[in-house]
Formats: sequence, C-alpha cells, structure tokens
Amino acid sequence: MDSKTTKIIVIVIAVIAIVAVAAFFMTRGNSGGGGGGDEPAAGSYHYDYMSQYTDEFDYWKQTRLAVLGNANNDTTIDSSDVSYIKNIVSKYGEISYKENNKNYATYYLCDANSNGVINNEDAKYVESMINGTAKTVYYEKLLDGIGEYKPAKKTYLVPIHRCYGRAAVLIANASDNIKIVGGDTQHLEDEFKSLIDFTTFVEVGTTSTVSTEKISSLAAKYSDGNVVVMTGGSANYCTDYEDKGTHAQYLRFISWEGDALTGLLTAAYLIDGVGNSDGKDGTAWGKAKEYEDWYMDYIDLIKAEGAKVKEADKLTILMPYLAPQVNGVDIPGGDQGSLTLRGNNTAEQLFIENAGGINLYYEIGEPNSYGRVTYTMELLSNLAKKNILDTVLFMPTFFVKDGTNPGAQAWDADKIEGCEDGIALAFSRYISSDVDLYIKTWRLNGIPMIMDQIAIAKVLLPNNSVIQGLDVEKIWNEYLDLIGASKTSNLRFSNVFIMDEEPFHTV
Amino acid sequence: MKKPNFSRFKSSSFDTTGAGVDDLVHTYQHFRMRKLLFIVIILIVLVVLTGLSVGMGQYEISFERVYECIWNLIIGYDDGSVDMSVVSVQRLPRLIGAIVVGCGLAAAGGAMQSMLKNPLADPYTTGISSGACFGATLAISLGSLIGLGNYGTVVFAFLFALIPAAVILMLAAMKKCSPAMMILAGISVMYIFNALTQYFMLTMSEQDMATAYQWTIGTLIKVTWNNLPMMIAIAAVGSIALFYMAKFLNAMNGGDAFAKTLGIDVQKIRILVLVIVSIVAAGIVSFTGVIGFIGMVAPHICRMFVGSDNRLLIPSAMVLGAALTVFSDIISRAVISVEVPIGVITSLIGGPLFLFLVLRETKEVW
Repeated sequence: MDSKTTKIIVIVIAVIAIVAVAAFFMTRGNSGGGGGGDEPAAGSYHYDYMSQYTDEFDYWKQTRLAVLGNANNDTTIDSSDVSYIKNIVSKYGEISYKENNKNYATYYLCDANSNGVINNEDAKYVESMINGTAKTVYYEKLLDGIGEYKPAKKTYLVPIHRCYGRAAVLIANASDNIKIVGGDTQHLEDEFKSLIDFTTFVEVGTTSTVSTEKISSLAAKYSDGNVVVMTGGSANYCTDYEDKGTHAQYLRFISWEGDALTGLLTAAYLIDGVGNSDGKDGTAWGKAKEYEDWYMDYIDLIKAEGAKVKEADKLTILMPYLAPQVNGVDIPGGDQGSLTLRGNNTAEQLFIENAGGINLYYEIGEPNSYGRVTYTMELLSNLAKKNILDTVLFMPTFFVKDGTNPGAQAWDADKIEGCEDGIALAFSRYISSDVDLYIKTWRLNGIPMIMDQIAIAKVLLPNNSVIQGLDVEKIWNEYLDLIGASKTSNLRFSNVFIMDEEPFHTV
Repeated sequence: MKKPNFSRFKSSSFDTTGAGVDDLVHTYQHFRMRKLLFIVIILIVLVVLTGLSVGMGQYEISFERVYECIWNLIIGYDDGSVDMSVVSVQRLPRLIGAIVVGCGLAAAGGAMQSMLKNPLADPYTTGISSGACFGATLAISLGSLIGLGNYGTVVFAFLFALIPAAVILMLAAMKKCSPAMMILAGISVMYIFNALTQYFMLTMSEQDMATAYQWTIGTLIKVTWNNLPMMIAIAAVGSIALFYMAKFLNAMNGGDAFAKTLGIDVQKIRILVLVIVSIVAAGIVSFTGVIGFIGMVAPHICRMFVGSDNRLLIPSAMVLGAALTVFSDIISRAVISVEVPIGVITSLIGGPLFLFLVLRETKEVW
C-alpha cells in the first residue's frame, strides 16, 4: 500500500472517529443514572466501590433484607437500627465513602438516605421509614448498585421470570392493595399460577422480549398506584428499561436462586413495609415475615443437627444438575454436552453447609463466573476412585417440559420417576458401588426451596432420627397453606417431589 | 463536406436524422425517469412507513395524539404523560435508529457488492459480524471487569468488528488481493471468531448466554437518544464517503483491467471501500447487534430497477434499506405481541424475498 493510500485511509478514519466521538460527548447522559452535575447520583458509586471490599456473590449470605437502613443486618427495620446507627456514628464519627473509608463498606447498610455519608441524618431517615413518612427507600439491587423505590398505597406488580413471580404472588395474595396485573407466566409454578387472576393479566413477554409498550400501557391504566416490574439484573433482564420512559418502577433483587428469603423480604418491605415494621396481618410485609418464620424454623433445626456432625464424619457430596446422554442410555432431554455442578454462590451450597456436608465441586475444577463447575463423567470417576466421594445427588434438569420449569411439575416428576433406573445405570459405569446415588426433583422442576433443603439434609444426615423424621409431604401442605394455594392448587405432593428414601447403589 | 451515407444501417440507433436522435434522447430520458421514479416511490413508501411506525405499537395511542407529542418534543414541551414518554423515548429513537441502520447497511452492502462483483456480498462478508459477536460475547462474559459500564459491549463489539477488516488489509499490504481472496480471508476470520464465541458461550451462565445470543440476533431496543448521534455520525459520514466513491466503483464494475485503463488504482480503491464499509458496519452492529439481510437484499432489489450505476444505486439502496428496516421494526414491535428482535424479522422477510427475486430475475444486472 502506498503512502497516499495510507493517508487517505487515515483521514477517513479520523473524520469518522472525530464526528462520532464529538456526537458521543455532546449527548451522553450520566452513566450512573439519576441527577446531573458533578456529584454522582445516589448509589452510583456503590457497585464499583463496594466490589473492592465485598464479594458480590456472597452478599446474600450476609444480607437478607437488602434495604439501606437495615443497619444491624437483621430482617426488619425498627428502632434497633436507629440505635445501631447512632452507636456507629458515635464510635467512628461521620463515615464518608469519598475517603474510600473501609468502614463505609462495612457499614453501608447504615446509609439509609444513600448520600454516601453515614451520620445521624441516617438515623432520622430510618425513623421516617418506620413511621411511614419516607418518600424514597433505597435498596441494594442485584449486581447493579443501589436502587430507589418510592412506595405508594396501591401497587400493581409485573413479575418477570420465575423467581420474581413467586415473590410477587406471595406478596400480592397477602394484601388487598397489591395486585398482579401482568408479567411472564411462562416460568411460574402451578401452585402460584392458581393464585393469579388471569382475566386482567397482561402477558408482557419474558427476559429479553419484554414489551416496553405493554408496560407503559399498564402504567397508564393503573395510574392510581405504582406499577412495579419485579425482575433481575439489568444485564440480563429488561436491560435499561428504567430509561425507556415506561412510567413503571423496576425492582431488581436477588431471586430465589440464591436464598429463599432475600428477594422476598426485600421486595415485601419495599412494597408494604414502610410504616409497617411490625408486619401487621393482612399486609404483604406481615405475610413475608410469617413465611420467614416458618422457613427459618426448619433451617435452624437442620443447622442445629448439622452442627452436631464431627468433621471426620461429614459426608461428601456432588450435585450435578445437567447431564448428557451417557453411554447410549436414553436420558430424555439430556442432550447437553457438558455437565454442571451446583455450588459456590447458589442455595445448594448453603443447604449442604447447613446439613453438615462437604460439597466436592472444588475438587472437580474451578467454578466459572457464575459459580458453576463444568465437569465430565471421567472427572467424576476420578473422584469416586479416590474414595473421597460419598454421595451423588443428581437433579435432572432437562426432563423439564419446555425448558426450565414452565410450571409443568407433574410432567417433570412423571418423567424423572420413569427414568430413575436408566439414570442409575448410566452413572454406574462411572462411580463405584459404595457411592450413594440419589435422584430427585429440585426447584427448577418446581419444588419449594425448603423441600430442597430437607431433601439434602436427609441425604447428608442418614442416621439422624430428627431429620429422617421430617415429613416432607406435611411440609408441602404447610407451604401451600402459607402461600394461600391449598384450596386453589390441584397439585399433589407426588406430582412435585420425587426422591427415593433409599439411594441407588450401582453394581 | 459531403454527408456520410448511413442508408445501409437500418437500425434507428444509427439514424442520424432528427427523428432518430429524438427517439434516442427520449428513450434515454424515459430510462432515467424510471430510475428516478423508483427512488421517489420508495421514498414515499419510507415516509408512509415512518408515519405508521411512530403511530403503531402495543401501547394504544391515537394518531393525532402521536403527532401532538412529536410537536411537543420539537418545541421542547414535556407534559409528563405516558403518551409523551412512549412516543419520545420509545418509538422515535427506534424509528430513527431503524432508518440509520437501514441506510448505513444498505449503502455498505451496495458498495461491497460493487467492489467484489458478488451479489452475495453484504457488510458482514469480511467477517465483521463474527468479530462484533465475539467482542460483545467477551464483554458480556467479563461483565464489570472491563470497567466500561454500559458501553463495554458497544466498545468491544466495535473494536473486534474491525479486526477482520484489519486482517484483510494486512493481507492486501503483503500481496495483491483479488475480491475472491478478500472473501476467503473474511470467511477464515469468521470461523475463528465463531469458534471463540462458542467457547465463551459454553462457559457462561445461562442468563449471560441468553443475553449474548440475543445480541447476536440484532435488536433496536437498545437504541436511545444518547447513542443515536454516534450511530448517525458514523452512518452518515460513511455513506457520504461511499457515495463519493461511486464513480470509482462504476469503473470497477467493468472489471479490474477496464478500471486500470481509466487510471484507477483498483487495489487502493478496494482497500478504501473496505475500510469505510467496515467502519460503518462495525459502528452500526456494535449498537444493534447483527441485523442481517438488509445490506444484501436492498442493493440487490435496487440494482434490478436502477441498474449498476452506483451514483443511483447507493442512494436508492439507502432509501430502500431504511424502508425495509422500518417495516421490519413495525412487524417486530407492533404486530407480534412480544418484543421480537428485529434481526429475526429481517431474516424471515429477507430470505423468502431474496429467493423470490433470484427466481424471478430475468435480466443480467451485473
């Protein structure tokens, strides 16, 4: 290429680049969202700053009520939070994020007004949240920093995707001022669908196909209250819809994948907890607290029993949930080329720890950015050969009818039950006979998370009479009562929960 | 001087009497008017589609109210209503984005087809789309690690989209590249990037994979007032540059040897066009993902009506490309009840349309 050609090319590129960059700088808004000027918008600093000190994937292990003002990190906002803030301020003085003060990262939940400074103004702000006069409440969004929510007397919910639908239905069913008016029912369990009034429900699309105009229509129709889209992180769900002028609010919170309570408690407080710290009956916040009490009773029981297990007696476990066709064995729907284990930042890891077990997924390999480990059956065999693997708890995901949990629990359960022998045979070629193999349905087949926890506890505590005595069917009925679906849902326990009491032993 | 005797030539083309010349001129003018009429017609179609696009959607709003909102926007008045938000924040940016995408991709596609003398060429022939897909997938996979916030995907997609073009330029610097060689080099790079993209997708979470996949299909939903100026700048400057190159491309239509006899440095022009097309396509695809078929179908249709003169072909392809994209956006947004990525619609429309055109084609337009 001669120099003249090079010059022309460079000039053309330069012209385009200059015009494009000029256009960019003339028109770009604040990347953090919120107001203009030199000061960052409330919470816009949060994610970048916090990631220096906290592992974002661990936060839900630490914080269930992810609302700023929950200073003492329990699961309610009350006068103890006011006292906590005052104590912190008196101990450390005013704490500002600008000085990159590690204390801010440690006590960020104290910054109730989300202005980047922890001081006694935050204590007053918590008081306003308690007495119901706070116009805006700040919370920790899923991976997106700090969000704002403006409570209203009436709320119209639009849940997108399964886990948000569960929380939405539980919240809406508990209060006359909250209604589900639209959403995505493709990924919702049958017991929750039985609680929705589909005569006025508007299907808005799912995940990446949510229609902004349909949300705008709902906002125009229900202008007497808040239209609230309940969804996940902006990277994957309704990306930047806050900037689309839909006149709806977007609640982005952790789903039930990480923990059964974090998303529910956070959403319920924002929608119905301001001015209602005690959680009165007939309110969504009250119902969320009731669910929490019921759920934690079982978790605490399992933790207590799990804590009794000596280190040397802890059982090791792997929990694969995707599997290919293995050695020509026809595993219906199992056509994935790789296998994945649950662990790290997922609820299953918590459940295993609660029950005094050891998850061996780290022995297999490094988790990916989402905490999941991809492995092959050969790696599984290696582990079994080393005699350090006690249990495999296989959760067939690709038996589900049309993808992950469309609500066809009965179909899933039927398929899984019919294939257990085939699956056991498939695994038998890779693991020795002294490894216990269990096959069970799990929350992607639609079982409630507490039943997941109990099933794992039964596997890891086989000699514990308290755990073995837990009646899973009774717990299922309690769950239906709690969410208000015992009369509306025709799901039977046998359509939902599949797990043999005795493991499969390979030959 | 004695008048030559042309009586042995019976054809009216050689009739040197006034009537014959008038016929010739009239025929030529008619020929040219037909072409201009085609451009005018598709311009009218574009205007109509524009009006329909801004008035149609899942949100019910009357036509009068739509144009009232547009007028309010022009005069800078915001009444704070949902109607205003829907029109000014949701529909108008998408409409303008659709026009920009259609114009840019069609201009780039027309130039590519002329330069490579290949009816299958489009802006992505050199592997731009695969480079952009890889860049976007990488950005989605790395997430906050790249520290570019919302612009991470755009920047990465743009930079990686240019790599295939850079590879071809380097090849051209090392040896003379024929059009076939350029296409083959582009295909090679495409395979490499596709493999890398698939590897990253395998290691991603399901949600990230869905996001990356959606990006590859192409969507206008991410077009906002903030990123429109950059898209317009890139597409406009690039299209003007390509239009300026039209006469060179016309010469190259006759073959490299013919162009060289006119004093045109064919290699230089080819490289220049490649650079401009790459920047235009990369600039568009980094914001919208891969929207296929527009860059191939629009110039092809226009060539059947206006011929291969790039001075008419490129502008007409731009208008038709814009019309096709706006039409596809109407279908993706307003006709189907959920938000279908526009890339799906352009492929669904473009595929059968292209097949129909290929089967119906009765004259050689190359």
